[in-house]
Amino acid sequence: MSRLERLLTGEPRVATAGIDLLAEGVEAQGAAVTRTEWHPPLEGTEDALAAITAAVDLRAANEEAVGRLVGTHPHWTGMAVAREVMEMGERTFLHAGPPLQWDDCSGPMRGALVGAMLYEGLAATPEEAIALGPEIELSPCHHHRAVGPMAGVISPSMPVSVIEDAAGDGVSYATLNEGLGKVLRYGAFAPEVIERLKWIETVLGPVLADVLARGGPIDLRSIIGQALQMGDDGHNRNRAATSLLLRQLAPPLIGGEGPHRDEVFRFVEGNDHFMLNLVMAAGKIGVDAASGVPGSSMVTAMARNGTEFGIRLSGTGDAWFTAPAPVVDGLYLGAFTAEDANADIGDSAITETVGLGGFAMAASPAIVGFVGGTASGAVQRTLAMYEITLAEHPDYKVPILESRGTPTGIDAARVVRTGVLPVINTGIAGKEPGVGMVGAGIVEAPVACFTQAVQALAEEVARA
Amino acid sequence: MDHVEVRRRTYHDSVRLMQASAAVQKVPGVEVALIAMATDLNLGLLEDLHFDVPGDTTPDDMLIALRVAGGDVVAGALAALDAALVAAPASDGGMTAAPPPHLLSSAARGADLNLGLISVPGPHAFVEAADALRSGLNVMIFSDNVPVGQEVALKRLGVELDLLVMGPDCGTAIVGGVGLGFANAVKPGPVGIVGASGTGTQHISCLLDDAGVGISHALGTGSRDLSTDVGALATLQGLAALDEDPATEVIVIVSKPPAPEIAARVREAAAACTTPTVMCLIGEETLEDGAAAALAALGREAAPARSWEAPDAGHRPGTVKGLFSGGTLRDEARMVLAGLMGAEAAAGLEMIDFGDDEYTRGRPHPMIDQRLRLEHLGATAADPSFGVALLDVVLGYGSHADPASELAPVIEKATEAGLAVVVSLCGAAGDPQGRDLQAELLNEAGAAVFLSNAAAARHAHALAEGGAA
Amino acid sequence: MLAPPVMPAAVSVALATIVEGAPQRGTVLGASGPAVWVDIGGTVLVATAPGAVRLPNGVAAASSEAAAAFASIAPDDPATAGGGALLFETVRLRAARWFDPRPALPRCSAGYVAGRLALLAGEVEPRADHGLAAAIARHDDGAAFEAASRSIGSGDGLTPAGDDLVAGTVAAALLVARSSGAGGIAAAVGRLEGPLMDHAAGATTSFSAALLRHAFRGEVAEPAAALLAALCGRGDPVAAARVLQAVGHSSGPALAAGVVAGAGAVVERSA
Repeated sequence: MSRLERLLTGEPRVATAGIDLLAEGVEAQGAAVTRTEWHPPLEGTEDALAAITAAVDLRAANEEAVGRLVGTHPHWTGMAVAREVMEMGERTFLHAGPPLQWDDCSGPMRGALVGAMLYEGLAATPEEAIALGPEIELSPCHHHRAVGPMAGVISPSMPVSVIEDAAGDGVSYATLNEGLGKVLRYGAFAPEVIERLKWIETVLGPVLADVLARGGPIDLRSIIGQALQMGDDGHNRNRAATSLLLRQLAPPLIGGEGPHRDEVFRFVEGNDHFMLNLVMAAGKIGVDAASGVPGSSMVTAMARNGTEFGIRLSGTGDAWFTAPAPVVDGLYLGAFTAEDANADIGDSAITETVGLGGFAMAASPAIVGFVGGTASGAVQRTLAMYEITLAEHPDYKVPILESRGTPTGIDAARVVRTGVLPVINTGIAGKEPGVGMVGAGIVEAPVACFTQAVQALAEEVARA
Repeated sequence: MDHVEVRRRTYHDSVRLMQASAAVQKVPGVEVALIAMATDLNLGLLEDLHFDVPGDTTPDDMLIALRVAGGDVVAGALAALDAALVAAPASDGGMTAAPPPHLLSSAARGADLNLGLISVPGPHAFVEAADALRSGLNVMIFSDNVPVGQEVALKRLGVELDLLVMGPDCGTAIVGGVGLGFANAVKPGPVGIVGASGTGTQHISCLLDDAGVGISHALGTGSRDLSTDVGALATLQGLAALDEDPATEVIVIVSKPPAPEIAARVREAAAACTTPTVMCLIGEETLEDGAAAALAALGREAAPARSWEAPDAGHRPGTVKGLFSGGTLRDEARMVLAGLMGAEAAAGLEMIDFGDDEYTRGRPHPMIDQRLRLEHLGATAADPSFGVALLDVVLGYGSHADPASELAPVIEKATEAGLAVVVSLCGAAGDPQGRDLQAELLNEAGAAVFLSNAAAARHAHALAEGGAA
Repeated sequence: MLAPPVMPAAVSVALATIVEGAPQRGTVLGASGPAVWVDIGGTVLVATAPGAVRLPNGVAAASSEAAAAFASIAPDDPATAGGGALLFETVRLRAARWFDPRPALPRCSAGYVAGRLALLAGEVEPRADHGLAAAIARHDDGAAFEAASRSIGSGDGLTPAGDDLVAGTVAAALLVARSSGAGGIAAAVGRLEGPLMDHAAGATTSFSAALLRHAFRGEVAEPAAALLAALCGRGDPVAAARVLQAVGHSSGPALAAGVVAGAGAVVERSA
């Protein structure tokens, strides 16, 4: 039966958008009706939305993009040194978020860059490093198939995990997570920070390389999927995923030859966030696979550099659409207050971009207290994200929602049409370098990023 | 003793209130308990029960009226009431209940929907409709002010996806027995309608209803579908769909006269249908003619549609003034009058369409809010140059809940002042307003009432000419 | 004490004369979950809440509050039909729109129906009908009555499976014969109606007998109508058969078997 024949067979099954009188009229006839809470699109996007709708089959373009995203099967295959796999010179430093100038760097970003310069031996003291700052080359991780949490700084000598797509030819990189406390990603550059980075370079990296060579590759998609069943959100809670990872690392780690194996085991075991960088890199493979679909309004990056929040769309290539990074409204640790908080920072919103983190909050009641919320609020947040996403992830599932897949693939067009903004679960960095984490909370991506992105997509499709 | 209490802005559904009333009734010493929202109906009930009726209530307030054996019973009764109202609250699906969708494409996800009814502001309708179509929904676009280029794009998309685009500016449809927008409660039957004119569709469906013939589907196309720009895309698609529909035995196409090349294209498509097809072009023929042709195609003879004629109370001489709530019936009346009195004379008559933008800016449509039209009727009665007022009243879903109750007193005054009043009543017997009740109210107030608009116009002319109708 | 809530309902046009006529009092015969059936002057009407199958004698309310309102209705309660409504003490169902329980089937040849029926082999389990379909096919009135009367009342529940089987058979035979232009079948079914309904009056529940009477007019439950339409080319017969067979405890499968047998009788006659 054709679709039109189906309409004329049996009763119509109606949904309404607009004035309630029409829905009431259907109901008054004893017929069911589904009402929508329709709102006009965000200001300034009306013409752009119409232009995109007229020019392309937005639904098909977005189905293509999200299909590519969820079609990736990231595996942790090995270790490498940053300069050997990424295009970077001796003075290239990668950072989180959209492009950034030294002069615009926030406290934690500047601190992390200072630490990385000390680590690379480009400067002997913090003062020297600061003086050198304007001369180094800054480039976003996202431009190098990499992602980094918080400041996200990757310098040429750092060991990086290599993630490869078992279902395609994608590859991505991420540093190894340093743990909590005084760490580079929060802008700390004290001697013990540099020492730990050296230990990661000389001990952790090589041991893991050996472990992966014998026990790898490790299926990250499988671990993430299982971890959601165990209370992780994949962003702020990675305790289950780290534990699952350690179970897979343990046999080759124990069974291997050479020193330091116990140190490595204890380091991974003692860092609940060890898996975060790998989850992020897994996400990066997905968004890179999804980028470049003509006409697609799917978001392929949400990232913050501590100064600006930026997003990219599949259909607008490498362009960033930025707005000032918001300050996270969250819960603060100890005596810290919002006064101590830096603006939102890190590439870790890649997790939300691929349907984890704030989008998977319903799977993670354990995170709720940490980011300041309620269990039912967490469920409602996840449910709200279905409105602005394109698919339900086939393997990342939320038990309490009858194992519905997480809302995956943010559609910027749906964001501006509904005014529903992506929610991000995030840690809050102190604004003074090296203070570390001062709190955690939930932040919404800035509206302006999405309105600009949709306007740019309209121009792009008009050119095509 | 009596205890009457009003709880401001407290709402419970009627079933819950009934259950609560039942619970309170069971409390020993309670003789009468009325727990209800303070609607006029319930306030009337309260009065019937000889309770003191509290003043200053709104239907958003909850009434509690108890007649008890003694004052000591009240507290217990109220406690029972409160317990009943909180017991087993209506399930909201718990914490995993999804929030309401914002977009039709969200509503369509995982739900078995097939029609999106869009009444968002015109400039936004295109994006919403295209997204709904791509989500597999047929659409009816009630919104107007949609650029014609967008209409063409949507209809081409509809053809490509085998989905119907009714509108923009589509006010009336009946699909599978369910009226959408402004529609009358007609029974299912053998006639399918493809209508570019919503009121025309309503009128024909009501005339057929009066003849005991029902409607299979009435598909709206929007007022511009038969323009050269749009090229009858939706009309042709609707025609083909009804031709395939086994429940449809005759198809009626209702429209204002289109451009000749479009009319030719539609006639060609109609001729190719295996189902007999009737074209009713308002302005060239009457809706009455269209309904009669449909009946003839079914092998049935058309009888004059029902009317409620007023005794001739000796109205004053003067011309006809038209006070219409829509352009279609106004134009048809003018055409009928032109046929009787000559085009020039008819063109000189004052025939207002209160549905026109000029009159609807900043106020609801006259089919919903009659105040402006009532004022004009009053003014017409006061102007001795007019002898007859001709007005339409459209019933059905979407229209005013009880238009006659507002019109009747004004009509009564007008007829007392010597103005003859003729009403063209567009309604089906089963309409929620009660068509016959409405007709009788108008008739008792002094108006002659006709189900056929053309017949109403003829009657108005006859009255103005001073002869019998 | 309180005016009962008014709920809009979709009403079968088969009930139009009763529901639109002057108010007539009657009695509730039974109530079960989302359905309440009443006798108004010898005609059985069924009020249903959302989720229930739309029946040929149905008054279908769409309000989510209908089920709660029905819950307090008990057998022998008074009910009134007329003036455009069906009234109970606790709820008033207003006829807001009408549906036709007799499916409009596309014209199609008996050969086409045979092909569609072949798709249902293995999907719909045939039932022993004591030769009813075959008797209809060869216009053997005596054998048809004999077979049908043996089925009526056999089985449990409000609508015994044997009744559903007969109802499905006669409705399908009538409607498919009309759609395919097969002569004689309608008359054969027509001759069965009188004697069989007389027999049914004592042999089965009044509710089931009412549905049987509708079947003789080609008026069937909505999922059976969908299967009939699919057999004649509008819709997927396998999907429609699955939906129908999922209805009720024994009713759906028996009705489906009857529809297949009745359509088969037309095919046999035309072969």
